Amino acid sequence: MHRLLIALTLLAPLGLAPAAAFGQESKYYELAKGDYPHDVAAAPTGEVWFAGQKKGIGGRLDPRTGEIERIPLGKDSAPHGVIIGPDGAPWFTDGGQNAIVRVDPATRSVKVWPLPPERMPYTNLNTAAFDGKGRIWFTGQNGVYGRLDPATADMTVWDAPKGRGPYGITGTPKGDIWYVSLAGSYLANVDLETGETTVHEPPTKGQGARRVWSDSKGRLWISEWNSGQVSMYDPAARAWKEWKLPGEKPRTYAVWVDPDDKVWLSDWGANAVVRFDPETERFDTFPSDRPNSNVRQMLGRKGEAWIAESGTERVRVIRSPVKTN
Amino acid sequence: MGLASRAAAALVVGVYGCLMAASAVRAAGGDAVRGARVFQRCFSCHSVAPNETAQLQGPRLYGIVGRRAGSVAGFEYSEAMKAKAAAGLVWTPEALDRFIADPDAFVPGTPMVVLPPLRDQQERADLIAYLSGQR
Repeated sequence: MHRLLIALTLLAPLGLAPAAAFGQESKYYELAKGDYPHDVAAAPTGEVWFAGQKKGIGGRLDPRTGEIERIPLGKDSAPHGVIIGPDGAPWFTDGGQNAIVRVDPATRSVKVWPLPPERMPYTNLNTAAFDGKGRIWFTGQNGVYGRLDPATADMTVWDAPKGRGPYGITGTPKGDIWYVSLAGSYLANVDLETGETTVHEPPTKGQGARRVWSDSKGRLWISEWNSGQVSMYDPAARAWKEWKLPGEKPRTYAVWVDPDDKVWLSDWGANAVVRFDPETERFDTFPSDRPNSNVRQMLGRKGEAWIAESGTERVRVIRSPVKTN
Repeated sequence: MGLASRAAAALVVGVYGCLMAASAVRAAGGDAVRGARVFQRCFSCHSVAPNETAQLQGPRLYGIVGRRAGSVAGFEYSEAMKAKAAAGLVWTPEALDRFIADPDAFVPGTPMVVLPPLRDQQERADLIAYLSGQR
């Protein structure tokens, strides 16, 4: 035990202290003041991108060197979300430009697809996801969702059921698109061709769905801000399940399901990242080492959960031992 | 109170309200019509409807100008805002301007972020002019 404590003490200044006694290792990358990483996305080639919302930049972090590159996304840019597309490039939902933005990872060139302004000059763009046909779908919290085909630049925007609220969005392994509404407290499945939505009401009314992510079986995992729960909707069984996060007053914000189908969540009430194992129904908690980390989104790859700490202006990674078969 | 008296009282209240609103608009130098467009940035979290029933992340802004901070009944304010309220903060146009320009600087720890930031002073004035009329 003493040896473990000594090891922890020695590792802590290096930012390598284990997050908890589960074999995980946590590391933090300090960003510049004002970088304000709202969302983060890990590319398969190694680099990690973040949406620098206050500065209007796409941030590119090289985890090996810690080097950070900042790519301006345009006048008035304020990107909320970032995902990695099937082309390996970072795609941003840019509220400030009211546009979908792509950065070429090789040339760093920026391409902007503005939303039609006559419909709504400011939609408060939130998050995006690709369907199985190379089209990017997005939510606008002011009450819209939409679809862009980058190949043709064709863009369509629809009014969301119940108005304001569309927030997180995800694609399933089959290529289906689902989104959630924070103000509307619902989960919706979108018809990929007509854009029509089918609303699925959760068991807990007013749960305040922030984000949604699909597991490998196409089940939808939802972070519920108001209720402090994580819920799961299984489209095949048409059934819901829900679990309350540990702690006195959990506030569930981010959700990401890793390739091993473990569910990662952020809990503002505990100032921590939480990992939920659906098989054992056990929560493991990984607190931040600073207060008010305000984790709004997570996204990773096998063995790595990448976390945007908007409150401390850092990017955190929790590495887990990768199981080999 | 007779009908004429009630009508007179209503007229006084109405005129007073209009004067208050107009005064706030003039004081801020803003344009309420333009401010309605700026309010789109606030729309997803705030409502100006007096009887809003949607469960939004921010408090109702109906009657915000001149109101004590942290005083919407039933809304769960952050600890940061509760502390400011306890210190006597009132949402004057000047206080709103400072808050909207840099929320975390004015109320450290507030969960509210204004993004994209309202750096433009005229846009803030327009927004405050619009909010001044929401009463």
